[in-house]
Amino acid sequence: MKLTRALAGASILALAATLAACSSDSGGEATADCPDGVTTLTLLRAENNPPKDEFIAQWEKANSCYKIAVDEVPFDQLATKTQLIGSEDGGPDILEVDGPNTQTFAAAGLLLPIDDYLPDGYADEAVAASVAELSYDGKTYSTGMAQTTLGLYYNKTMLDGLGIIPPTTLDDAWTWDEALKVMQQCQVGDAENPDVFGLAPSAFGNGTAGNAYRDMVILRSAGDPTAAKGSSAYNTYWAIAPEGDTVDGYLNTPEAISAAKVYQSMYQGSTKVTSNEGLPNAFADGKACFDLQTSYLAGNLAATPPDFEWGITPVPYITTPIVHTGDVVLAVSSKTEHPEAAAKFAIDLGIGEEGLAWVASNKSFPSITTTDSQFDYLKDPPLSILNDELVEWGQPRPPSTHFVEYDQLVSEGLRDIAFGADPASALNDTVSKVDDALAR
Amino acid sequence: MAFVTPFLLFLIVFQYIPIGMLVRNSFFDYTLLRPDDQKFVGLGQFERILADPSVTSTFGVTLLFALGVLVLVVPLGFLVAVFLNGRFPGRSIVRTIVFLPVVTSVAVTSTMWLFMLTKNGGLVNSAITGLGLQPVAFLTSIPWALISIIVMSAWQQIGFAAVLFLTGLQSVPDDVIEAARVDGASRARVIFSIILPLMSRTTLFVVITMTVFSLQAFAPAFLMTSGGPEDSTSLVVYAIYNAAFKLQDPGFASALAVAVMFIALVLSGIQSLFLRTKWSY
Repeated sequence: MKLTRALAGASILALAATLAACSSDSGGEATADCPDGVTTLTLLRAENNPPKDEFIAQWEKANSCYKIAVDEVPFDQLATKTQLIGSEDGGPDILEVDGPNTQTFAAAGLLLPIDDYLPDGYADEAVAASVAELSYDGKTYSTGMAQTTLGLYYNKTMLDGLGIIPPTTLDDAWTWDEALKVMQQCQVGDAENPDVFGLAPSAFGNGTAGNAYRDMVILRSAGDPTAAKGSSAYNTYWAIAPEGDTVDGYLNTPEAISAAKVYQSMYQGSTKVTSNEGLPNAFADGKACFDLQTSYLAGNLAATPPDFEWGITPVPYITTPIVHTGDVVLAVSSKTEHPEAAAKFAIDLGIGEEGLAWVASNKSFPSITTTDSQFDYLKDPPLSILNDELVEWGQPRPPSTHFVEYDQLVSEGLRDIAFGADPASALNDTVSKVDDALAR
Repeated sequence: MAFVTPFLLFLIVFQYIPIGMLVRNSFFDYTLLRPDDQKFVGLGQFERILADPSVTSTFGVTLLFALGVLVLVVPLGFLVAVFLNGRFPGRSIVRTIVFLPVVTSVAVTSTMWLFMLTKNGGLVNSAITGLGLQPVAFLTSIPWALISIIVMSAWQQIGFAAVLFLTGLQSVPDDVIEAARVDGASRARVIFSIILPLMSRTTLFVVITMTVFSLQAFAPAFLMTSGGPEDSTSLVVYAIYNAAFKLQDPGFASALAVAVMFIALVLSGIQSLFLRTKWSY
């Protein structure tokens, strides 16, 4: 009997210890500089993503009454982990969120608006795409950190050999028809098993085709935002109803289906220029002439130069040029007991000194317009092309309070098209699934 | 009782209470983002399961997967066990090698097979193109994707089945086998007429274990094929994961999980009925 009690007691103690270990540390001994003690704020961050430890340390030095404890998860698990916080007691003070999910989490009450803490003049300086993506119901939930966009990277050494000079300005950007012809010309070897791909396989996720951030721009570019409101071309460009309640008549328009056929031709048949399976570092390894990649690739190529010359040309389009924007952002959890400090951290690491220093060191794009000389690299090619795209063509992924579901289902639909499914059937099927999700 | 209490506690806390919560959640419609905003829908989630053709397809794929795994694992596991039951140099090492995939994380084996089977520079396709043939889209074409994850899963589980069969083989009485040999039975006849019938309990256990394992399989679909192409490898647990965590539909996911549990019980019952032992020794 004594042993039973002892075991039961040990079990309860173990459970209590486990629960205690999950709680965040807050407060501390009062000092002259910190009358309320040193407070630890918890940050949920995706692995290998900003804010980097070096810049967090800088912030801690400047705000000595606060410490930041980082809890990391793989990027693929970030949205899932954030969702689960809704059903937990407590949780991190600051949440890293993939930009387009901001509205989803704001609508669910997981985030706090930060309007009261924003610096004066923020609204005038913010990049329009960031505001569209990171606001909900008239309130701002994040300033963003870096902005990203897409560029069509090319192997200049290979193209020089073929006498091909890609466009260097947005006005001269290729259409997809033109780009695909060049990609076919540049491809080396049998289309089923080329030595050099015309276009590098996707580097998103596990490399499988069908990433909404990258591939949806092809479909959206078949639309026209200057067409009559509500017309098929207009709806194709926006890819979701303005109220966010349906994609029927937006994702399955004749223009979108036609664009999906162009998309499929990149992966199937005699016109194929890429693979629906991944090939890590295909571009950097010289196994692809072109790569449709985020602006981060420019930083990587600059840091680790490949053994060939490279350049960036604007992303091709069908009717209207468009690039997706967005990156991970910092937002304040509605469960924090320190909203002011958490907001200060999120803003400082976004558009404050520490945030801009990271953006500049990474040769990325700030989410505010700035003339600061540390961003002079944005004025010269090839990065100026990405910057011009961001400002002139940039659009967030279709804003929705159901973006998590939208992203998953649209990516699956695009993947099926790349794998050979009938484009019209696949898009109609996707519309049906997305509308079911939006209705919930 | 004192020794059992901790295990009972763990069983109740980590098995029975979650199952109870699962069944309860299957009667509600809610999202993980707003878990308190629940709507009681009675059997509504189960009606959705019956009405949704993609769910029917997912269960069909999972049953095909289970069948494929069984067809490969049971006979091959038995043959490997017969081989391992013999006397040969390095037997312990070979037994360890055969069992190694079982104790290796399925995430590791799935990733390893992903690298082997990928079309772009994968080991298998390199060998195929080396022979002058066209590469095969093992993971991105129908029906190769399903076949590939069946083969990978079978490869991982054959060692487990072999160990179970080996235990069964070693418990078959030697005198029965010797008597058969004295009566002139060939080696094959001894296996099929004496050993296999006497091992029906072991076979039943292997079949049920492998069926349940197949119904629970998740990593191959998640890591190797993402359920594609066109949902041809969308195993039911992968569909449950997607419904709960990607599509914000945990009530529906719970109903799917209850349905899987029910199907596993029914299949196990049917298998017990058809494979029940007729002999005791």
